[in-house]
Amino acid sequence: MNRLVVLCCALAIAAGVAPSLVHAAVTVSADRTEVSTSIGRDFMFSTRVDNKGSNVTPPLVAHLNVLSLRPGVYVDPEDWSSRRTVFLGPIAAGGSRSITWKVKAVNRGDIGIYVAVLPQSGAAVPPVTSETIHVRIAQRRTLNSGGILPLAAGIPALLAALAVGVRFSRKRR
Amino acid sequence: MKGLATITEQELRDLWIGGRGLLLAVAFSLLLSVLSYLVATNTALNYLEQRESVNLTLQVAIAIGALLALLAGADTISGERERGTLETLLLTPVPRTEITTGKLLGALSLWVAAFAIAIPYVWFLGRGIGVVGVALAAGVLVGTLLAVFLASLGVLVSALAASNRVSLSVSLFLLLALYAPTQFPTRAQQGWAGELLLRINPIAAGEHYVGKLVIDAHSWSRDASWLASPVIAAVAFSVAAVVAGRWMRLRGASSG
Repeated sequence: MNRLVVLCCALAIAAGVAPSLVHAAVTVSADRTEVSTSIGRDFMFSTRVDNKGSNVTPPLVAHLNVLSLRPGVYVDPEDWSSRRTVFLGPIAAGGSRSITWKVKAVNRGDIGIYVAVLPQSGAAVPPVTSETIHVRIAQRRTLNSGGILPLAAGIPALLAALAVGVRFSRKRR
Repeated sequence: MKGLATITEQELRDLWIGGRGLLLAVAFSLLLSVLSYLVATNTALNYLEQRESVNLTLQVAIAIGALLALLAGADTISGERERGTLETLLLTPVPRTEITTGKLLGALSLWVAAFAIAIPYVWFLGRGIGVVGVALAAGVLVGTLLAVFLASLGVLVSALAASNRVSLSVSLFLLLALYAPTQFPTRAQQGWAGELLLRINPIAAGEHYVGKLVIDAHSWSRDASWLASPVIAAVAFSVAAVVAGRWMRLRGASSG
């Protein structure tokens, strides 16, 4: 049986197809799949990369991705997190790495976030991804600006009039 | 106590009928107007949550109101010296501690006026979310403690300084040094050393407490330990300023 696996691998390599990370038994899991927050707030979540295989992995890279789950909302992931790529290095057999991600809620709406892990070598293999984290971002309550102008102009004007009145009455004395 | 009432009345008359207090009040209201207008209308700043807008305006009102009290306090005794009126004041049959207390109360009237001016702005920015009452109560509590502390600091420096220029310079330098920690980046404010620095600084601790009440809607008791340094500073410096009256000297007077 072992000889058969070795033979398959050798044939695959010979055919130019590297074994994927899935075959190397790398998994990525997030500590939550739902986040509710409001626009402008920061939130954090963790992901864990496990090597459930019996061999050490090649050096790995984890990357955070952000996208809108609804059409018409432009999402620039750079705005959401300043640290979206983490170099993990090799993970020993049975070992794991935890990564904490800090994200700012920039747009309101339904946002999907996931973490992809791929080999640092750039080998043409499909990345392993975490579950999608569904982020619901509510509009924050900002104030209604109507009526600020009379207040902003009125109070200084009233005080200035009072100062002028006091000055005149002092001079008349 | 009659002497205290007379000195306080004279200070209030000089400040408010003399016109200096009203001019400062106009400048203060202009500052709050610009800030409130920007907060309420500017698209970028309107990104602020409503509680954060109230907190920003309230903290500026407290900071500038306390600054006005400090400046008025720093001008009290050294100002009398330079105007050549301190000798006359010292010859009056009023205990010196009552003279400094009266001057301190006069300086604090600027804070009272500043807070009264800030009320409509805080009300406008905080209406509809039930934060106005808490914000105003927090402003009265923390602002009064900081104003007493800073006005007393000003009177104390004024009593000891050789000239009015020195008094104002030293007071402003101390104020800037006290405000500096509030501008530290968030990371520098974390950890035990950062928190200790914030807690022992009355201004930083007071502003932190106001933020917790207004933005995070914490209860009054939850972060009450942050009020320790503002309370201690207000009590210690007001006692020191009153006692400093005994050390009032005519040295440094330009005339008289």
